[in-house]
Amino acid sequence: MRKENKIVTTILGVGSLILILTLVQWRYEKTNRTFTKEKANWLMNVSGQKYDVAFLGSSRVFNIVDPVLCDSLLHANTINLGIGGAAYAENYLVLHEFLKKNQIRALCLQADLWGVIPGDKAYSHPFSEEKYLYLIGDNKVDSIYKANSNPLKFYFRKYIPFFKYAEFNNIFSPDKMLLGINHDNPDNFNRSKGAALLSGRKEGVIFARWDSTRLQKSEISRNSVLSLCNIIELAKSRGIAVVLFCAPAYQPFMKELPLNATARDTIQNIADRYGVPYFDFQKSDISLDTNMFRDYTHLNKEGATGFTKALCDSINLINYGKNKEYSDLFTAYR
Amino acid sequence: MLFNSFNFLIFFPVVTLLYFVLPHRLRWFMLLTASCVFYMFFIPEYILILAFTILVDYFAGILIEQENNKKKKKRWLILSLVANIGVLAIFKYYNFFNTNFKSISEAIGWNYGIPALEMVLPIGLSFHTFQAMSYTIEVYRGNQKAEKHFGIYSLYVMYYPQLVAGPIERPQNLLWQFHKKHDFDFQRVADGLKQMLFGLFKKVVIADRLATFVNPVFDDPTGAAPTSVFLATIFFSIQIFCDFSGYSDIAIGCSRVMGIDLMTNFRRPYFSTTISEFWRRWHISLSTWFKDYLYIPLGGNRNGKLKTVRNLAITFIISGLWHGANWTFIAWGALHAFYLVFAMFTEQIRYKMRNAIGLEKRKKLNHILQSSCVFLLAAFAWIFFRSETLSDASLLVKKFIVAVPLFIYNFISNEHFLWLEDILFGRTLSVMWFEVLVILLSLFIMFMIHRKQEAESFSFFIRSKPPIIRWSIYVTGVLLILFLGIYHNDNEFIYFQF
Repeated sequence: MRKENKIVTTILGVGSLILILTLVQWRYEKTNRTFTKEKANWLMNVSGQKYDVAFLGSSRVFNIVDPVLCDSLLHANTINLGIGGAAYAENYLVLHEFLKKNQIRALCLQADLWGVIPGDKAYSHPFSEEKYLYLIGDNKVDSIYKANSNPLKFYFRKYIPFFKYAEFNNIFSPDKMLLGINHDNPDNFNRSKGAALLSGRKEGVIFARWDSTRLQKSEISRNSVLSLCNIIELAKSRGIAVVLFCAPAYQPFMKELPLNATARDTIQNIADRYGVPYFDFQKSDISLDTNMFRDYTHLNKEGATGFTKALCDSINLINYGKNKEYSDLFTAYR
Repeated sequence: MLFNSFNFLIFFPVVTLLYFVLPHRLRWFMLLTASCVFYMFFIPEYILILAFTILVDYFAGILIEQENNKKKKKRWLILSLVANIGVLAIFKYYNFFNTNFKSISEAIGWNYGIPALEMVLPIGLSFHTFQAMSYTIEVYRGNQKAEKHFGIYSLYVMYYPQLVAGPIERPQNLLWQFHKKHDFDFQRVADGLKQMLFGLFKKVVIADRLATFVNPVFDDPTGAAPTSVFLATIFFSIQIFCDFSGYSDIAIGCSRVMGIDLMTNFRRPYFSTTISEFWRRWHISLSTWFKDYLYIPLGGNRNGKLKTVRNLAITFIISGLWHGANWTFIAWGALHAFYLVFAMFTEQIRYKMRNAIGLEKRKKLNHILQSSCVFLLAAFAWIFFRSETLSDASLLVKKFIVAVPLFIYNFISNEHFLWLEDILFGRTLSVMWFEVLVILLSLFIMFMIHRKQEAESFSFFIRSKPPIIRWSIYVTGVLLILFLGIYHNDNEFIYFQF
């Protein structure tokens, strides 16, 4: 075959491969958005809503704060924006995208030790890269991906068709994505308003026998703190009132973590700097009762109900002006 | 750096591009630097071990060549061998022997207090030390001139495609190629890329997928059911082949792109009809190394059957030990030696038996039966290779043996559809139907390519087809790798640990 023919054949061959991959990626993106069984996807599909209070954080919000109960206690419309394993960078992305289509008046943001240490120490990954692939292309999302994952890989994900889905093909299997089979039931999250409370105790968890080595070896991360500040600033820039809170974790476990005190001081400093309230429930009665916990750091359904009530009481204090210091602030935001 | 990693996706095109852009006199330096980078992705400090052996062997090679006195020549060779084996002994075998001495001393009540070394085994150590040793041995034998260019010699040991898992090259095959100028050749580059593609397919689509079913069984031998053990063993036999031959294909392919030919490491070993043929087709670069530098110098099969048995036993036990400092590898090597000895002593009887039942006349059926037998024997031996301890291995062996009568029993009883269903629907190894389908499809593709390769090179076969068919094959290959490859587990190549 002549040299020119080889070149033309190669260009045509590579071109057709790129075309096929582009078409497949288009199909994948279309399907991906509809998989609302994933909390992140469900949130991205919520639009045109107005919420009085939104709760943002990791699984310590997702599995712990009950918005349905909050609605009745606060006489308000609330939503749970928590996502399992989400560090602040991810929380920021979720809030940023959520606010594009919805409105929030007050944001209750979880602020605890796990939030301010490096994401890979707290959640085994700094950022759930696989969850927001279809949002790549948006400047803000791109900058979050670049900052929290391999920047070079980001360019591959952005510019090489299908690269991003191939990498996570264990989650996006071709049978599911190409055929668009969606067995998900979005009604679950619609009913619970984004929460997933869990009953009983997690299998294998024995209180008083835990391994906190990973946390003990950790330190406060500048990046995580910056991401927390970014969330507060984003909310403030949209006129949203911000409240920081820390859900209970099993107290004897937390006592083993000397870094916890530093983390609390750091969060208190941030709260002071931005003039936002900080409710710390770490020393509440719930945090000593093993029956309230699913594991050391997550309350079970019973504990979650108790905690949600306590959190709402605190928010009510701001609402009804029983706490002078915060009521002015809240009013100012409203 | 792993061949199936994102880093390599960047590394390979950059290095290849630089290779062709740079003038020939600078290429060795670029390749050597790239190889250092490639190696330092694992544990950077360990490059010093390589530097040590390179220095020793480089000077040993020159001194052996310059020396006229045979005794002195030998002295330099021994020095080089001691340095290389010494490195292996410290980093790979010290803890193994230390633990065993400790156990023996405890048994006889002797207080043995030499502590274990706490360190990670340098990646691919056995590969590059063996390659380095083959250089000094060949210089000593007069088959290879000592390399005067220190950079080129360093590249011979460190050449990145085969640095960490072979093929273990001979200096006669590799060194001269670094001196030769290789221009860009479209056909050769295309062939290299095709081989890389096939290697990647074997690794990420077949081997890594099978690993997800094999690992739970071998990690928990107590909890595994006999049928699961049987299937996991068969799967592991395919996994290790695809993993290692996949690595070799990528290594050979990416070297071929640059115009440097590496030796073939696998020639469809599971198509072998005898165990000795299996060893002529499996990890060829290592088996020929042992043949040339150990088995034949020991006397090979020239001094009667008894000495042949001894030589086979020594070669295969050392080969087992080469794979890992564990009794399981020694058992694996010893088992293969037993297979060969058994085959040697029963050759006549087996021939007569085949003749008596008419198998010798039915060539095809005979071939299938013999290949199946070799596959099962090799698979059985892999149990030792894959097990963590000898007690795990013995437990798995028992379950493996029980599995066959259990199959037959289930088949005879009315439950035969149930066990078939269990396998087909993946319940035996907790596999989803989609996974079963992918495995079957991938194995079918591999089988067809291998069948084609029996007759002619697959590259030639594709080349002879019209562009539309050719490119359909390439595109399908890429799509299969992208769709069905496993990328989330950071799966290392099994042979990296050696």
